[in-house]
Amino acid sequence: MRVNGTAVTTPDPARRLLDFLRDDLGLIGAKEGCGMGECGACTVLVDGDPVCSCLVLVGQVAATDVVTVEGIGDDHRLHPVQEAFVDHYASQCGFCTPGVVVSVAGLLAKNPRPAEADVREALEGNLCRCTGYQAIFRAVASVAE
Amino acid sequence: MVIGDVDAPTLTRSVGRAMPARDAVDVATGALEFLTDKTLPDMVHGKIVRVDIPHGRLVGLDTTAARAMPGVVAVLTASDVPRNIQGVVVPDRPVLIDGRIRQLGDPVALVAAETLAEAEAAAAAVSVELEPLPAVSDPQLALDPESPRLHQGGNLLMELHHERGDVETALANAAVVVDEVFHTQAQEHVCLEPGGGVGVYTNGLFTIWIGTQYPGGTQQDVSWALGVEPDDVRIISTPMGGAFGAKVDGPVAIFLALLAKATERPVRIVLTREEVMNTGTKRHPFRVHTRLGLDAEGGIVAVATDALVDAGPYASFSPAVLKVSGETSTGPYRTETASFRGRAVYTNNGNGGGFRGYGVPQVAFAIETAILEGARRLGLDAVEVKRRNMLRPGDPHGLYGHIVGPSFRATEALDAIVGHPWWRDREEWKQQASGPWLRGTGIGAALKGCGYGSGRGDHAGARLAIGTDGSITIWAGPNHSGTGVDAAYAQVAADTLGRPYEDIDIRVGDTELVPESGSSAASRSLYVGGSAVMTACRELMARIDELGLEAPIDWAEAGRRLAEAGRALVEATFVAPDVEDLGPLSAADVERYSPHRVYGSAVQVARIEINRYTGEIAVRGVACAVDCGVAVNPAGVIGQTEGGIIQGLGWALMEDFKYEDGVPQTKSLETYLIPTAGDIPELDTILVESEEESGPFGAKGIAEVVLVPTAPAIVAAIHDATGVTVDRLPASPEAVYRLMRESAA
Ligand code: FES
Ligand code: FES
Repeated sequence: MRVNGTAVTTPDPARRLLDFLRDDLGLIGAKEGCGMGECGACTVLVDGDPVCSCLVLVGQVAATDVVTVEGIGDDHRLHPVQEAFVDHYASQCGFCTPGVVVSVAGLLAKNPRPAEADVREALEGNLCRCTGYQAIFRAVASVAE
Repeated sequence: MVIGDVDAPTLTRSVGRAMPARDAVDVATGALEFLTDKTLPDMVHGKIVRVDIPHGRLVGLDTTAARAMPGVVAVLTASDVPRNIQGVVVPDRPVLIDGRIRQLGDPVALVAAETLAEAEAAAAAVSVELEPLPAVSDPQLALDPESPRLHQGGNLLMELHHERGDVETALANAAVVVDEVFHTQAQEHVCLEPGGGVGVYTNGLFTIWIGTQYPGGTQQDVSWALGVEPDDVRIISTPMGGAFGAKVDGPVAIFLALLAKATERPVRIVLTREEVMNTGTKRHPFRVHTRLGLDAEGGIVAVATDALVDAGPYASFSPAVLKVSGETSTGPYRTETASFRGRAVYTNNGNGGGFRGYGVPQVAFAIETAILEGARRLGLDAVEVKRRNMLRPGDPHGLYGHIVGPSFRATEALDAIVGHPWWRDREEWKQQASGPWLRGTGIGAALKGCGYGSGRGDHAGARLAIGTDGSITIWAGPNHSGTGVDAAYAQVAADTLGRPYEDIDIRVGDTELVPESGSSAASRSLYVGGSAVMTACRELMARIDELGLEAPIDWAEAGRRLAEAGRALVEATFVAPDVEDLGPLSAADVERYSPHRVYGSAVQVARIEINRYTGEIAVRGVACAVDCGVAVNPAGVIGQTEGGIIQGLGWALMEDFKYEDGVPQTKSLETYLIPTAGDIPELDTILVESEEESGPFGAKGIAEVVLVPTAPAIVAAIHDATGVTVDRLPASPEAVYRLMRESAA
């Protein structure tokens, strides 16, 4: 498995991907909000597709490319989505934000000019209790332009 | 859009400019370490052993097997708690159960082990013997003397009563009296971060990292239960993943302290979603009996409100919530005659506690909907009725008669909404409905006090240090609980000092460094805490003035000279002023009712579509005019407004925390539904500004009131579309469809 471009070995295939990322690799960007696939705080990209990392076991993604929020930008620059989230006040408590950023980055990689309906659909699995989502939509629209 | 009577800020000023949260970059990159992300070397993992019945007795507890499990470091029970009682307002809740069980999920033991899996296994191995008792699940029945008593003093936790004028006579003389009962449901906060933290005990001192809105209260809780001095407990309380009232109290800090002391190792507890859903606080369900008397022109002649409030098993903040309900039971309206009776009652249902709005949404839904009905009976337009009765600055408050402060702008907010295209063009929009969809538009209005209210000594502190390089660091409270209030503190400081925003370093959320400042709650953080920051900055300016430096100030020199004089550290306290003109209230009343001098208000228009065959409701737009004083950080005000509207929308239409005989039925996010990206209408925020003389740069607090008008506006829109009046929330498709069927029949 590669995580954020680096090959990693996984000792225990029965471990949840979320625990492996957070506890073994120290990638704390992915959060646990429910542990049952309902909140999206744990979202990562697996071969480009957003996935709830609380629902998959490491063994199921052994031969894939996993990208977490930490791997969305590069060392020197924020990803445009991350920049837009700052500029458009798209986070409040910020606990949902890593998962939302990952979902949006995944969407934009496939569809660089999404309509608002596409954005809503892509974020259907990411709960945010603070912002009311509109600031997130504005941030995404600014990148999609 | 911004309207109001405030000078436009110049671009050199910080106040009035939209600022991102100070942690926004770290949030977006995932670098921000939340307190539940924290790990420390040698850390053990804590797990709470909980009961699975809502009411009963703990008759046996055997931890022998658990203690022998691999990796187990400690198992604690009630006898290990030095003072086994907690509760910020009313100490009525054991830390660990030693007899009576009052809530499903009540804790009976704590386990710490080397790994989380080992802690979970050991927790499951604790053997618990329970004697179930019938659950007290109906607040009305709970008051029956035959009902089991959940606490020694009986099931009536608190009763609040006040009458201004002669309500019965006024109602008897009214042209119409709306006499209706309204029901509201329990709402769960659903902070995205379920909660928890890390605790350490070294050299007799506790350090607890835990997301709390009230670090000082948490410190008191821990010091009391552990039998130590408050100074021996340090609470570090930010960043946290959402709060909304859920994190203003709670037992986990005490659990961390107990386990840290017992194990002498760092310990982490992270709650599961289910634990929070079962045992966390909720918005109180209300049964509100409203009698509203109107004269023939629609003038309000009397409002009588009787609220029965389901407080659940423990007091939490129910008494304070009840006070706020009383104060807002007449809405943002004038009347000379009003009464309120509120009773908060213990049951085995969800634990009512602090939740954004704090008792206002329930009574606002009642009064707003009663006005809708009264206007209909009189053949008047409900919005005109609201306008003609709208409370203005200098008016006596409807229930208490104290004088409303000069910055109140509810009328201007209503005017802004009445002029909004969604209201103005409502008939045209309605005509364009097609297919199964009916369309409707409605308006809701609300007020809420800023701060704890009079007679409470509401205050915040700030500590400012100027460095010998001229740098400025300010330790300020209340805490940043997800609102980004620290950005606004920095804006206030920058403009008071005449320095760039970037020069100001603000630190929040640490009881060791931030002077006691109360909770980030009650729409008080910026209002009270920002004023404390301003006071500290002014004191620094006064000290610099005394140095007689030439302008422009050389800040490094000022810092050096003040350091030499031992005057580089400034401490300031701001005490929020009480009501100036009490009207008929006595000093004892002020203590009993805590009325406010400063109110924020909000008026909203909602446009909805409703499926005539299914009752399904799609909210298409909500515009909110918010009476915010000066918007120090407009991005913050808009963010709070949008988030508040959507929490209000969830409460209005879908959120419903259900219990059956005290057993939670909606204990996961699969069954308890909150708004998702697909449910979000267009939103529009209008800032209605004025200068609140007691607030920092004229600011007031608004983060709660923005949630309140949403449900009444949606209910008014449903009425406009269908003619039916919703008297029970949530307005689910089934409920609305049933009402439509009944009214057709
Ligand atoms: S933690 Fe994975 S979806 Fe909520
Ligand atoms: S910013 Fe708090 S949940 Fe989205």
